[in-house]
Amino acid sequence: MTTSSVEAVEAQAAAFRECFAHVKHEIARVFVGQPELVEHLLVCFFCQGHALLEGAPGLGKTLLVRTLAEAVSVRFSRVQCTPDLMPADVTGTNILVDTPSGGREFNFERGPIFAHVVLADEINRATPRTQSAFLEAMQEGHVTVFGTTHAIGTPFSVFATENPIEMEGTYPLPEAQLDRFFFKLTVKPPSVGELAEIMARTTGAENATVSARFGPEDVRGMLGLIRHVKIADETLHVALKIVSGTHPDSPDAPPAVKQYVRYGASPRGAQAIVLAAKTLALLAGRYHVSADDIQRVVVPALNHRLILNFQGEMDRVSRERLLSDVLSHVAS
Amino acid sequence: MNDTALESSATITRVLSQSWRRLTVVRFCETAATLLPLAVLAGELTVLFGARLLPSPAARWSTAVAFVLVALAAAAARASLKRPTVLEAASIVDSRLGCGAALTTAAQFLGQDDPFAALVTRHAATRLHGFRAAKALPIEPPRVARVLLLSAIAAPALAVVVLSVEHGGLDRGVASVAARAGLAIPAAIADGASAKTPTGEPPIENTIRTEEIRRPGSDLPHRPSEASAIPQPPEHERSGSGAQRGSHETAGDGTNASTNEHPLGDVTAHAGGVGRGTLSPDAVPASAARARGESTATYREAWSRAQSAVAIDRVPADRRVLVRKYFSAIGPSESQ
Repeated sequence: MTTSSVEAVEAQAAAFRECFAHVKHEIARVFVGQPELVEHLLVCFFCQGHALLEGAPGLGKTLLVRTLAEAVSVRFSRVQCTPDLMPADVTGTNILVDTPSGGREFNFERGPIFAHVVLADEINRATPRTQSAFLEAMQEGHVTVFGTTHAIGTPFSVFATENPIEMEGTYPLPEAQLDRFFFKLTVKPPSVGELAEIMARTTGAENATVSARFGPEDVRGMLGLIRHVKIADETLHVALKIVSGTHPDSPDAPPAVKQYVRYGASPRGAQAIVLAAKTLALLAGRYHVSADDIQRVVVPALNHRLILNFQGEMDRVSRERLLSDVLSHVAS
Repeated sequence: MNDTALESSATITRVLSQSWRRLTVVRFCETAATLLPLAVLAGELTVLFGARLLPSPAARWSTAVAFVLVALAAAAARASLKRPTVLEAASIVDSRLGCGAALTTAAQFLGQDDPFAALVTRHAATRLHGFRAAKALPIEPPRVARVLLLSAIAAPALAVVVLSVEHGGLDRGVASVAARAGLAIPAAIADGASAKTPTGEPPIENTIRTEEIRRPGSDLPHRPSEASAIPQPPEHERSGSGAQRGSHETAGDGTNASTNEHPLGDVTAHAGGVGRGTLSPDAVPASAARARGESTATYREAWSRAQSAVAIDRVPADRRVLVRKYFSAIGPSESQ
């Protein structure tokens, strides 16, 4: 180890914090309030995860994701999911084109999934077949069309939205697909003060604009930094006990989980917790993860990974409350 | 590694070492804080109430000391067996100081050739600058230890109270406890104990003293010179009024009027015991009283113990005379 490498790491970490703060600030110029939501969204983006945004219509979900893409100056695409949306509309397809030599050949026309930030609006309105088209892209970072695999570059994040109110004509996401999402974030209605600020910004003569100081290259350089953050075995054990505690047959599970949960979080949940905690540690100027970092990301990382049983669904048990129980149980 | 990295590593190593040692001591103290009061309590019970099993006070005291030593040994053994690992010590320090796993992570990655490990170590060293193990890891006895300590303190006091009630006076209670423990009674307490009787009657030792000297046929070596050397008690004590139950009535002219035994309740045989609490340094038998001014400290101590044994009914009535005779016989002579 040399001093220069230490200094280089410190410089990278400082750049990461500056980038994160800048993007957060730029988003705050357009998107009013909910700093925790914005922070979690950015954590998800810098960890190269995918997020499911749930909220009523008109709360700014699309605006938030688009602003994120603009703030980091990455390619953005949006897919409005409907029941007649086909997988090829997402991934792209081969098109027969004329060659200059007079012949014809198939050319792959890239779909909207080939972007750095993809917004899948109302993803639960797409058919399961189309939803599954997102599956491979989200998990593998590439799509396969007619036997040919096409890689999607980095950074790559899919931000899907869903409306929890209108369930008519929707196709709830299967558990396997839900598990692919790094975070599930809930967009809450704005307060009166925030609403007033929204009115001031959106009904006036001037529109807020976003300035981008960082590009995809900068983001790519920061991605590797997060994974080098150290986590002690004991701290890791806390995260693993939390994940284990979401399983009803686990000794770490609190009584509420045993009563209401059918299946707990998968190992992907633990991965999400650890990566997000590393990001928070780096943002806090640390190079190691603390138990507080873990606890801060448990709810967004695991709330969509708990599958309730019949009683839990009937009693409308809150997943946040269950996770809170798990945290208390593990802490004790 | 550069100097900064080396310094950080040294700081972490020092903190870990200090913490580990301190935690071992803390665990010993916490265990001892629980076991020692228990041992002391057991020792107190043995000394005060173990006379049937261990008649000798020395044996009882030895047992009590053994309890304490066993408790200390058990605390040391537990502290040794349950001593924390270095990482556990680091984790405890982190939680006590709110370092957020800084020391734990640094301890785990200490010495790794990795910029992040070096940064973690440096961060932890910065956080732990000026670390003092005694301050960060104070000795905090468990609550049960306080209860046990109070019990150990309260046990002798409770014994005094119970025996005081039983024997009708605080002085007698203290004397009784001291006698059970085989301890010498302070003269002031002994005086108080002998000066009182449960019924508030005058002490009977005056009559006993007279009886010993005057009784015809006594096996006490009767020396005419002793009689004249007997310190005379105050008039109101000597003349009595006949209210001295079961004592030897003494006539005003000093002649023995009665040889009745003391009628007080049951007594328990006890080595070295004397008759029920009617004797005091001021009222020792003739030969001892005669030499009161010049009696040795040893004699007075033995005499005090005998008195306290008397005070708690440990001497059968038929042996009290023998005890008195004994002390009369060994008392310092007048010539001293």
